[in-house]
Amino acid sequence: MNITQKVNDAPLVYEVVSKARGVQLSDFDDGVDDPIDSEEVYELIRNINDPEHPLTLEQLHVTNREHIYVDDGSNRVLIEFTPTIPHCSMATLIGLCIRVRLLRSLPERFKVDIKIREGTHQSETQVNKQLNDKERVAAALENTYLLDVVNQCLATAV
Amino acid sequence: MEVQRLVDAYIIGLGDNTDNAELRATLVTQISGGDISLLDLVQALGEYLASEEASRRSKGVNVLSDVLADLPEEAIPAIATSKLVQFFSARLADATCVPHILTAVLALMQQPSFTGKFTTDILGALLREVHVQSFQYSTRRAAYQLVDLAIQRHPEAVAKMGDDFVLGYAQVLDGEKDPRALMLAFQIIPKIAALVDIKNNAEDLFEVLFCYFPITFKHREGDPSAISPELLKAALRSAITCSPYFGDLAIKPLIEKTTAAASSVKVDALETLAAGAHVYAPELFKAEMEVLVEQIREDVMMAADDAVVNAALGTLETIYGVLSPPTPVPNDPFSEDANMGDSSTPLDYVLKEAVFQLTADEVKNPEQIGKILRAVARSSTYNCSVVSDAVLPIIVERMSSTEVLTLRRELMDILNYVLSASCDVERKAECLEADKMNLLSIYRPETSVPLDKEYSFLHIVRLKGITLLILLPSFLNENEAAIALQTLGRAAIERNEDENVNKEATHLLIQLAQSRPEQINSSVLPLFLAALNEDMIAAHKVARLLNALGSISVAAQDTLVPVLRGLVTLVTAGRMASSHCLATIETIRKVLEAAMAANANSERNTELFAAIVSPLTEWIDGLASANQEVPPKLVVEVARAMVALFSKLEAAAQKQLLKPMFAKYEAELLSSKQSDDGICLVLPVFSAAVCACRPETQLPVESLDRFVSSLAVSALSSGSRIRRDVCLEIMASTLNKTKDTKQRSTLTQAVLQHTDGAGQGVSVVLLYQWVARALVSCNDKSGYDCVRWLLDQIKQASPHAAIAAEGFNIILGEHDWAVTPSTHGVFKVLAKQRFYSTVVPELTTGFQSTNDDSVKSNLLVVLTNAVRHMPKSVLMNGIENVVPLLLSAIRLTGGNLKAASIRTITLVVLETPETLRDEITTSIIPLAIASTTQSNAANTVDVRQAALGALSLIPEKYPYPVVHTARKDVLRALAGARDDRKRLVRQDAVKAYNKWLNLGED
Repeated sequence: MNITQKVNDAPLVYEVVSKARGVQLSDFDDGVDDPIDSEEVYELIRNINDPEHPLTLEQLHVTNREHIYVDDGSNRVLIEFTPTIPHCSMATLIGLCIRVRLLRSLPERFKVDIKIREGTHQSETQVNKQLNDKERVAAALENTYLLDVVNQCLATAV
Repeated sequence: MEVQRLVDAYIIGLGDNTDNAELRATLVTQISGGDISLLDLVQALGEYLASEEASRRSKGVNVLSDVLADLPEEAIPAIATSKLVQFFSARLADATCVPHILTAVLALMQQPSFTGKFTTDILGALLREVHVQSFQYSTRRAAYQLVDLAIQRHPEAVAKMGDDFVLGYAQVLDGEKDPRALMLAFQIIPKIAALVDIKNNAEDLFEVLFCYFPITFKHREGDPSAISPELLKAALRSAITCSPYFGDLAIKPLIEKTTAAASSVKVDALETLAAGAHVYAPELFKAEMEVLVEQIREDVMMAADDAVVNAALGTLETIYGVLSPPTPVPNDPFSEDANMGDSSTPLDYVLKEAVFQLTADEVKNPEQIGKILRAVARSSTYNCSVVSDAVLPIIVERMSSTEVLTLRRELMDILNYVLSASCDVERKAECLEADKMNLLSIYRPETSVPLDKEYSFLHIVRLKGITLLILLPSFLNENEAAIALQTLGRAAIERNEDENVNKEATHLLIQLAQSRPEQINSSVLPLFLAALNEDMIAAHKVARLLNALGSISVAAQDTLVPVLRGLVTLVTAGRMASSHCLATIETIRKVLEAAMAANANSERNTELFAAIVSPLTEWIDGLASANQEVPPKLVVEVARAMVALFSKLEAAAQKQLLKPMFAKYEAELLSSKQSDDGICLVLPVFSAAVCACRPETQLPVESLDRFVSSLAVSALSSGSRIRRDVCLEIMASTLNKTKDTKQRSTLTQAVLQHTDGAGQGVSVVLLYQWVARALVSCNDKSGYDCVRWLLDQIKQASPHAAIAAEGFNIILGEHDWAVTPSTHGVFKVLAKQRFYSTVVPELTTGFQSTNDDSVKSNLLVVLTNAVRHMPKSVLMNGIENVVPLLLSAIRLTGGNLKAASIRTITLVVLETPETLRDEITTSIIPLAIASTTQSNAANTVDVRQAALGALSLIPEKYPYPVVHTARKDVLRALAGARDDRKRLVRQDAVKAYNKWLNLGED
């Protein structure tokens, strides 16, 4: 595929609604635990850049607050994302970016599952399989070119 | 025999390559002193000069040339010059002697006795006998210098040599390769062309010259010759374009070179053609115009390189400018140019293609066509008329017959280019008048076109066109111009889907403000003010409108007062929401600041004060007197506007204006009321005015002593926070601006004496802080007494120790008007250095001698404030004493103190990372890592956040080699911190982790 040719030339861009959690007094009280919740995980991934456009996953509605499920007690996180078009060949790369971002941000105790939202991509099963296969993810990150692309997408998320 | 001995020694020295400076100096002294004559020297050199051995002859000439170069003018008699010239002219045929002869002749040519005849002899011999290119660079350079000097000193002799000289010079130059020599050689050619008729030999000279085109060379780093590729290129260009005789030789090959693939060659060829346009005969260009226009069109259409496009259009404009006949006088049949009757004119090459494109179904490359038409049209008023005549009717006709918006936009774009050419030549084309109504209808707003993003280009092009119509000299009448300006104004104001339309309209208005300020004031300003006065106007629209008004008033002096007056009227009318009021006053202040910075005119400033600041202060006074709500931010903004203008007034004007202010506010300021209400709310405006006075301005008070004393009393006794702060500000400003040390000391005592019986309240602490601010900045030692008093409060853990510590921000920090450089505050050099070197050691000893954590904490707050406001250069000195203090505080303490210490270290890392280079991996990173663990009770949330903040900053401030050894440990610690129980800490940990992960990747 020609790398300069975009899979989706004109994606729909959504207005970002700020729902930032305000700082409260209890945030400074060491006696109160703040469990990790879906809002916090969303904050971590919403500013990842799309590999094709200078837009964030939040602006493209690839990631949504409602599609993140976190269980702090049993150390599980499930993220479902929605590619902009059903034949998006960037879906695997977007999933990989989300995985790398969470690898570098969540505590190591968490098991993270990343899936394409059901019915939103034509090769959903293959992509899901690829994204949740530890070996394949590790192999992908051995590829320096791919890692560079991932790092570029994550540059805005830090 | 003495001279013979010297000469022999010299010759031997030349053979051994030893330094002959001493011998040369002796010879020169003896000849100039008259001990020996030049003839003696030549006689002594006789055996060498006449030797059959070439190297001996060369050495002989070498001695002679060395001595001649150093001899003063009077030591060389005219007869000697004559003989030497004869000798040297003959000897130029002797190749081994040439380098030294040229040096000697260059020295001789400086003599007044060196006549034109000698010049002819020497030049003749040089051009005839010497094969210059067979010599090394220094000799070639001497040859060019000799020619240059000959032209400079004896132009008539050179001119007489005529063709021989031109041909000879062409031969000298032929084959030259050194860029330094070429530079000299090229520079000589225009001088030759100006001096000698080169007609007969133009071809020879041009042939030699043009083989260097296009010229380039790689300038080496450290090359001492001060020539650059650009200079060499320019020298060659002026040589090629120095004579009309080169015209028929140069134009064709230059046009051929414009087809080159390299853009630098294209640009060079095009620029050389443009440079030649005014020199070569216009007829020569006419013959080649078709080819040239075709090539330029291709370059512009390809638009691969901006430099090529600009050069191409520039060349087109210059050449058409030269070819253009003078402007015909209307109704004069005899003034018509011959070209008009010809079947074709050079303009046809451009116009035919443009007309073809304009009449096609789809206009291709409208921007490029427009640019070409503009370049041609702006070349002369005649060309402008012809282009407009040819193009406008077609565009008008098509515009009336098409509804396709993209086509309309393209046609309008081309029309804009043609109109802009008319503006450039400052003459409206004849046909414009006839088509006026059509033009106006073309640019009339199209209500059918929606104002959304898709059509914004069409709107922008239309707005540009309207601007051009306004700028066209005597095209629109007053009413039409007003309507056009209002159209632009509405486009800037009304809501568009695409903000670019608003921005473009504003930008165009700013441009127009410079040439049509009065019309802007009468037609556009009311629209803006009415829009600002609308009900329920959104904040972002207010910001946009204010921004536009601000830019317009700053761009054109004549719009300044009307705009500001309009804004003031809006504010004082009282219909605006308070947030919009604030934004408007902020704009007024910024415009005033910009206007003051651009132009200092004391008379205008006084008028501005009366027109702008006085109404504002009266308005805010009125609000306060009527006990209406007056937001403090609004008061501060008015006060800042006051500072912007009042500080620039002359002392006399300030004094005049202060009188009524004192009459109005002084009683309120010094009253014993305890509440913040009524007129008290606007006291900061009064404070701003008094603090903005020049040091020489006399305050309208009977006695300064009594005034500052009563200010102190009022500040200490008042329960009103505003009154107290204003008293302190005015007092500090007065103390600071009192130049006389004795008087300052008296005033200081008058102020401080009131603290004795006042107990230890907050007001006393604040008073000491403000006195310290006033005096420390002018290096007064009493200021340091106040600082010590404050430090004692901290060390003794007094009830207001924390306020005393925080107050060091007052002493060193910024303020809007009190004791600041912009309000004429006195700031002595090294004041901050002195403060730092006095206070920091006291902090160190204080810190070490106490065990009280609260005292340590407050001392660290002082230290943090001191570090924050110090210039880097000051901070570098003595930071090594402070750092251990901070590190021990991190190690030994917990909670707020620990967090403050970490933050101070972070500040040092931020400001002067190099000072902590040695400690960063050994102490600071380990301590920061230890401070991120949540198991330690000393590491509160604040501490953990501060530590993570510091860790996050380190990779940005230090290079990879300095910190890479700590990377593994830091990442391990941060991975742990990512699982902190507090969310805020986790967020900071993630930030820091990612920064350390990417360490060294940039």
